[in-house]
Amino acid sequence: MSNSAILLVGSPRDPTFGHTVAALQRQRLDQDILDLDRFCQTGSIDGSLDDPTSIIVSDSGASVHLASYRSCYARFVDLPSGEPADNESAWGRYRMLQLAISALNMLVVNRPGAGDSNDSKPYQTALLQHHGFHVPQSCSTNLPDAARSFIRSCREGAIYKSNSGERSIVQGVTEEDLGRLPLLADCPVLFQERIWGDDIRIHVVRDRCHGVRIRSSAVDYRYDESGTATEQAFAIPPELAARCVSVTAAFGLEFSGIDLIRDDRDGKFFCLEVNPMPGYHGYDLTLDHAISRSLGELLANG
Amino acid sequence: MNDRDRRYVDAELRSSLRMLWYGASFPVIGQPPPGSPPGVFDLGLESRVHLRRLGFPVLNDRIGRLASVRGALAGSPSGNVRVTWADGSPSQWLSELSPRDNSHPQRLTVEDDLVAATVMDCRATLVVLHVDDDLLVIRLDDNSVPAVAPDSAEARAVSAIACQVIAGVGTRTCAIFFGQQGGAWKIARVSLPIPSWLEPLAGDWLFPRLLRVFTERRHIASPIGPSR
Repeated sequence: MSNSAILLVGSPRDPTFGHTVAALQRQRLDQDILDLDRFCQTGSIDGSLDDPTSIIVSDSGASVHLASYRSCYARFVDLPSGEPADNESAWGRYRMLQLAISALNMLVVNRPGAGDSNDSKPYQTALLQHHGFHVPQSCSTNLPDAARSFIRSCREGAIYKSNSGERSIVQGVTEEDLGRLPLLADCPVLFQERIWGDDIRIHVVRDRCHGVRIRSSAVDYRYDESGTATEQAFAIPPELAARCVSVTAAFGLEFSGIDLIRDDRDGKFFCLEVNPMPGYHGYDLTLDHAISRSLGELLANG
Repeated sequence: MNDRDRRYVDAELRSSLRMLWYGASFPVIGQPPPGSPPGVFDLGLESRVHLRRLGFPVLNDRIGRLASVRGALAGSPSGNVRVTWADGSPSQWLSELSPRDNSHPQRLTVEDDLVAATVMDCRATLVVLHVDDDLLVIRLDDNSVPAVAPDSAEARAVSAIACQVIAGVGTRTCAIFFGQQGGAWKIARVSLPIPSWLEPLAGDWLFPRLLRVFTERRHIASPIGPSR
């Protein structure tokens, strides 16, 4: 293990993590990998949280001082589900590793706990509005009448999605959906006015921004199966870039993926979400690896 | 409902509640400043890591396998080690634990599990209750729950730290728990809101103050936006 190495913590199941490992290898950056899945099954950790230099992580017979690294890239994706008893121990190791990495004084991309607001989209939406972003009118409710009233108030239509960080496919509200509103009593849903326009994804690597414009006929372009969706580099207006950098820092993040829509009618940018652990590999390919180059430079400079 | 659906519904309910508490557009008791990570105030260990990075004096935790932690703490005062389970189970004093204890069957393999152990000078806990810059210090011991005199040295010590935390968090109400390490009182956790189990311990002090804060709330929740 070298003192100049970058520690990469993540799962081999995660394509974004694999992409990051390969990108840093291409940049000839010295790196060590801590396999999150394996650590959570068999790993150990020992040390004092008020002295990060004392924290030692052991896995597969090798032990390392976490503080010996130049910087750390950590992607804490969910563990695979298994037997409940095994899972409790695994999640325990997961939590302790998060605590240890949170306590480090070095650059951590991103520090566990930063960007927690993403666990509640309504909460984060309120924060984004506070930071000066335009946000869609939103209503989170489990009351059918409240939902119906909100939907009717949205002249350009409404969409619905999950409140939490659990992934959901964003859908437009249809007449058929109105008949299902009584089901809300079992689970609240986040409704938003529909903004018609191009999707814009901006990745912020500390003070550098990389934009991609997505054109899709689907409400949720991630699930567009028409084969007609397109992605291309997007020149970010300076004021918007500054706001994206500012909100990323305010959330305690070094790296973020910000979802926006540019309103077709007046060109306003509506901010939907700040992802604290962005799955960026697809956008990186669109941008000829510009995101991973910025990420590599940030991690290399510590 | 299968496990996946149950997990989804749980997450939706939790995030909706979080919005009510942290994200409402009207004032909420215990609301942290915008940008504060909500989770760090909910859990002792995470709370301590966050507050330590902000420069506050917090209890030190040793993390590791219970077997190795037990060995490393062999010379510490007996019975004053608090163990926090990584899986979120309730914390326990180390002296109350026994891997062979039938009352803790889930702990039979505990020696291999990861834990956080906090060595304290004694089991006493000081709690600073805060409502609108008014403070009450309570001492929680094994046997009694007397309120601490406001001019005692230990009350002044924890109140001084509490005032800095309150200014940093920007909350109107909270409970700050302290434990003693190396002769100094250090933060164990910051709890937003004040846990309900503390209410009866605070006598007549807490309720009228909370009532005053609540009755000031004349606003009605409004949906987020519009921003046009």
